[in-house]
Amino acid sequence: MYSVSSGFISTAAQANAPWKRKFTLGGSDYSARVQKWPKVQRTWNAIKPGTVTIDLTNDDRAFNFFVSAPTNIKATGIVQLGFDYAVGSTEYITLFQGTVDAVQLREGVCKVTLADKFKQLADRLIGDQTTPTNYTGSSYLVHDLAWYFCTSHGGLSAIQSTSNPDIDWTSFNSWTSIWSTDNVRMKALVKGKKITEMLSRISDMTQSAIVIENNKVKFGRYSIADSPAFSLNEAHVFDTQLVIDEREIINRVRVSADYSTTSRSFAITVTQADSTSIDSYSLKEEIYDDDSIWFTDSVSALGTTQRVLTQYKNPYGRITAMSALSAAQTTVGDTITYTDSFYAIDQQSYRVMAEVINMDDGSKTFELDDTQLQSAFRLDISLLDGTDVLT
Amino acid sequence: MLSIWANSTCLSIDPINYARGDELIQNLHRMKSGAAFRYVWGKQARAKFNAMVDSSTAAIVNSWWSINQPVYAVQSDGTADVGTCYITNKQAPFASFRSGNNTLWMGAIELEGF
Repeated sequence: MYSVSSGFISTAAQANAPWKRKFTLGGSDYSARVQKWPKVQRTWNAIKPGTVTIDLTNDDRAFNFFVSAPTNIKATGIVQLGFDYAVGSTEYITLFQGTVDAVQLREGVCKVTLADKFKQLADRLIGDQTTPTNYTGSSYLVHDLAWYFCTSHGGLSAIQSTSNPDIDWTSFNSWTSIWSTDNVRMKALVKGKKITEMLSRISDMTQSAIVIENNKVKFGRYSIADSPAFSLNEAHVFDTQLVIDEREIINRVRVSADYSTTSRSFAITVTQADSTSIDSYSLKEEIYDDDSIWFTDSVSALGTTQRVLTQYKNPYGRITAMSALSAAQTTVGDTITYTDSFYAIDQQSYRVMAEVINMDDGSKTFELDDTQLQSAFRLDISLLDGTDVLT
Repeated sequence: MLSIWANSTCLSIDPINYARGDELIQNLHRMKSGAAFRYVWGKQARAKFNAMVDSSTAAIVNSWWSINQPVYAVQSDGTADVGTCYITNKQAPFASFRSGNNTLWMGAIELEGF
């Protein structure tokens, strides 16, 4: 959840909340020049540069400074949503922060596109075919590799404290404890891949969330259902879509480990299957066999097989709920309860997996599911003497 | 009487059929429960009136219109403050003489605040 005051939350819940939108570029407030506010989108595991485009009026040629001084393209743009309280205080949440990625001047309109911190990680490569970057000399904890990718190769700050301006240290530190406790180790041999691509592989193989929040890269692996950050119901939602897609079922998982860069083969493949799901939905397999980053041993690989199987062995409902801004402070990763009488969903727990805030019309779209909610109850059975484990 | 200022020039114009057409910049969302959330982002002041003016006034207004000059308009009695605005006519505000008179121009001025 965005860090906001209780006053912000109670004001946001009002039917006539006095929302304000703010756009600053290079420290100057250009809010009054915005013709069209952007949609700001974030997804728990979409590790690629996020962009927003803001249309600004340029009838008086105010933005011609981009032409006369192109270095202004490195200016920082910040898009915020919040309130000017009557007492004079201001409280905004920063929905997007980034540097100018592109400027398009056409007649009286200046379109400014901002790109977030993932842009820097997408612009840089790790290793190449002649000189691969080699992390095979030792077995590295998952977070160590992610840290090296972001800092040594990506140029993000390596300060190991909450004063790190690029990496959300609190979340990263919590994330490290998962891999340290379970001793999950990986190796990597990278031959010219973007840092975002390598982070994406780590996210995929460890089922971790890597998102940008408050202009910092935030790491996490969702575990137990936290206290609900919000109770979303028909009083806040004006449109809902529920999708159950059989193609997302996975009931047998293979994770290959201990890759040999010499023989170019994996010495280990850990396999787990759920027989009940296979009986019900037929065999649906997934394999994780990456030769640029891999688990070093079967114990490290086992966690992924178990987690993926638990999450995807049964079909699940993915809810897309369009709401007012009353839950604007709720964000990706938060647990919420959802109620919808039409679908007979009564205060069921879900996790926010993606969000889109439409700053132009003042609406927010949540994508909710319970795949990353470990305490979600699902009706399941286990056979005596069976190998499957009820979770 | 309506006063319009820009670039240290003040014009006094006697409006005919003066009308305000302010518009809220807002979004209304109707929830499934029937509840409504209405967000007002701003207010756009609008005014429109006819007028007959002399050649000098007509030329100044038309020049302001042609360069998109921000102007400050206010009713002289202070009751209908329009504020800072643009002259938003699609065509020049004063483009024709009053019928039977070649010294007074007649036309309409449309103002929009920002």
